[in-house]
Amino acid sequence: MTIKVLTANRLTDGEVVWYGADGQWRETIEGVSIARDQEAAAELEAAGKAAMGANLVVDANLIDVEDRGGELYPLRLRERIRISGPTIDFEPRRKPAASAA
Amino acid sequence: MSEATEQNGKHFPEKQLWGREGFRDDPYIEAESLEVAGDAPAVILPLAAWLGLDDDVRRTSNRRIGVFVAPGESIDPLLDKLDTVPLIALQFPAFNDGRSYSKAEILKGRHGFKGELRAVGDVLVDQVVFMLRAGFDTLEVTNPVALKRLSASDLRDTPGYYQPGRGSAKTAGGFSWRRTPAA
Amino acid sequence: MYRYDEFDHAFVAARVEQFKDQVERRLSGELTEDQFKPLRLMNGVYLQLHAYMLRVAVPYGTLSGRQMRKLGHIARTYDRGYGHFTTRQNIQYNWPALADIPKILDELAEVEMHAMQTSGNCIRNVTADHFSGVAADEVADPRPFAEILRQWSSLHPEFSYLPRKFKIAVTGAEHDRAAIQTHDIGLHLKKNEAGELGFAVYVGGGQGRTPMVAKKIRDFLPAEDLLSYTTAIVRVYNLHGRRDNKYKARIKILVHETGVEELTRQIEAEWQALKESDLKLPQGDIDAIMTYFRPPVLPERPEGWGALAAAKKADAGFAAWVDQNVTPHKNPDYGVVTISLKPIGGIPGDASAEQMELVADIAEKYSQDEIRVSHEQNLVLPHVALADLHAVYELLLADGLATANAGLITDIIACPGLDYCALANARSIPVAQRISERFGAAERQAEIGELKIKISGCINACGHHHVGHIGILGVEKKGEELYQITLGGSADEITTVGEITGRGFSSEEVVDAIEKIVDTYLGLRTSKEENFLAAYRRVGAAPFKEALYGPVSRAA
Ligand code: HEM
Ligand code: SF4
Repeated sequence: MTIKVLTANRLTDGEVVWYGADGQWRETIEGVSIARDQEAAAELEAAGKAAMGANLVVDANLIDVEDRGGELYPLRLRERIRISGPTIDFEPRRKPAASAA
Repeated sequence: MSEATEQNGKHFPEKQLWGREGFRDDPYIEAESLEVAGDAPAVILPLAAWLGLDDDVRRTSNRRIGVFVAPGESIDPLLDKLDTVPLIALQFPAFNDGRSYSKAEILKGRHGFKGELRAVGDVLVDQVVFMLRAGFDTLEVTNPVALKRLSASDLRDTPGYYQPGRGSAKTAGGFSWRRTPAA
Repeated sequence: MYRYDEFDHAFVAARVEQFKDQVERRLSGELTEDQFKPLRLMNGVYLQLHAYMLRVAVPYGTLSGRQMRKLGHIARTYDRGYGHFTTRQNIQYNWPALADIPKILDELAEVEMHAMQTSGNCIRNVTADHFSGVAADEVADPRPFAEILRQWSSLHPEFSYLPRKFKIAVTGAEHDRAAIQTHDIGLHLKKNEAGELGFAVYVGGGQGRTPMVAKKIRDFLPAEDLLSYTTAIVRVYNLHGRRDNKYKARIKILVHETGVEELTRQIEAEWQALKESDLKLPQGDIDAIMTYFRPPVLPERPEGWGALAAAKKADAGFAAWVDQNVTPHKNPDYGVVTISLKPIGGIPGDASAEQMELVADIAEKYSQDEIRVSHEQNLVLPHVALADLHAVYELLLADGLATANAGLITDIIACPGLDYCALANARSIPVAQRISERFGAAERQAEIGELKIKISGCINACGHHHVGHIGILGVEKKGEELYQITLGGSADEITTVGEITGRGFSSEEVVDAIEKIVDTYLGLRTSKEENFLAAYRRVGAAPFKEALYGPVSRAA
């Protein structure tokens, strides 16, 4: 099967987080807890539900990823964009600080 | 008033009846029909059962017979019988099913229903103010947070409204659609 | 402009307190996400892919310099230095922390703004023609009525939990710039033979997965009956709109399933009972609200005529910008300036904090302290003296805000798409950017003329693709982005839903496909005066399909 990892958005600021092998939510996909079989997937799913119940995160979902030579590659573009951030150059160029009002 | 209202830390009974003056005892029981209601002095029947009663039974019964209306049911058959209804319970199966608000407006606002209009179902604190303004007199509350807030009279109302509605008054000189909470 | 009185200030302050309390209860765990979601939505807070999103209402798209400056300040302080102006004349911030949102709302309240009802199944921000009050073709300024509707719909006890969202738009001109026929209620302000103000009322327009053009249910509703009639419509919808399937919950489906005659009958019956109620608008109140929108007293500036001609002669870039982005004002010494938020290759609708502040400064100095947000995701300076145009242009140019493309092929509407949106199937913005680059040369755009491209990243149609002259809809197929093209849509007084051309195009192919369509148009138009939409209406889809897919095979 494809392997699965657990991801969500943090309640307080909406930041994208992944469920780490250490049971902590982390801001990068490195060190994430990986489910390689049904049973592990079910455990991850339960961890997601528990974390939503505990109001740590919202919108927890298992996503499909591939192990590409040690790098985790989500199958859906959506999830890749959640890792990379918007694919566009969205942050405005900064001009010398205008007076902060 | 039941004691539960005074004591914040106390365990609340699971269902409480609340009105603008606070918590109150509920004389009504819900029943599928008069027959199964035993000798309860006040009964709420489903709409179909209520409509099935003989007009005379409704008028002359020595008990109060209220009616329960689900959001998908029409209130039209009740409209010419309002003087014989002591209570109408409008249901909110989920707090975001807003149909019963419109029925409340029609019953209280247009038809001047004088009996008790009660909100039952998923009654949460964030909608209490809307319910009162739409015309509900009483709310049947089970949600613990709602119970706590209501017992503390903590409704987070706004100091004014942009629509006419129950329990509000027109201010002199203000735009015609504006109201302030009646004192 | 409307100014809050004490009543409004106190109301908004209390509403901010309510929301602050709701956020605190959410953060403490007292509210679950399921309970909080409708509450946050009613305050414009969404969860997107990377963060929360806050949508701030810009009622009928009108802002003062001070308000715009505050929007810039919020972008810099609580977000990543920019904001996104939307097709509903609002602004969205893409990165606020939930915990900061009450503070943002406090700051907005300082300048008489809020985020109420910018989302959720309630009556949304009322939109209006962005040229209201200045357009030469207008019967009357529709914004006073939009303001009355805004007030009346705020925290409406009966209408806060409708089957689905509910959008109202108002225009005061024959030429509809507010897309009223794509709204749940569209109001066309007009005068009857006696010279009295009233509305033609349209109901049941909408986009999303089942696009529908609104039906006219009343040709003339006296202005005093605005609130009672609207109440009747929304009440009938609240009671009978479908709640079993959220894709069938909009009023357009009720109109469709009930039939327009029967629904009109129900609405009229309800209205008869409401007509003489407290909802009847006294003329005094209408007049009082209208006073807020009285046109500013504009000093005579006849020197502008000569100055403008000379400046155009001396500066070709300026001349092109004036020709494309400045439209006539009721007062001939003045012009209406469209500030394009569509720089070539840029992100449609985005503006940086600095740009917002610059526009605020310019508006205060040169446009009677007034700014508009258009549903085309641009900004408008409604009252600029012709004599000041060159100065305004120079200021805008220095900050990348003087792109001369209003209404042209690079003036693209695009929704956030998969770069931000949790519901998206495909990206919208990068497609818009590539089209903009492909057609960016000034001569080429000018040659093509008026052409509205609108892009959505999923069938919800936030980018209005159904009503684009060329619409692009992103879908997902086997994990890849795919783009469907529709042709011939339009959102003006003759609203039409575009027709799908055929199979979709990959991200690599889609810009070439657009180019083929444009070249086909250029080849078949009768003259430069026949714009894309007119040509399409004349010849139909066939030549375009043939250009895209080759000669029609009979079997298909
Ligand atoms: C990024 C977060 C957004 C989400 C989650 C979202 C969600 C939706 C959904 C679910 C619909 C379909 C509603 C229906 O058919 O009943 C919709 C429609 C729409 N949205 Fe958005 N939207 C977002 C952003 C935007 C933006 C940025 C704009 C403006 C540029 C916008 C403007 C609209 C418009 C105009 C419609 C069509 C209204 C209609 O169906 O009549 N939305 N949106
Ligand atoms: S059209 Fe779809 S992708 Fe675009 S903003 Fe709306 S919901 Fe998101």
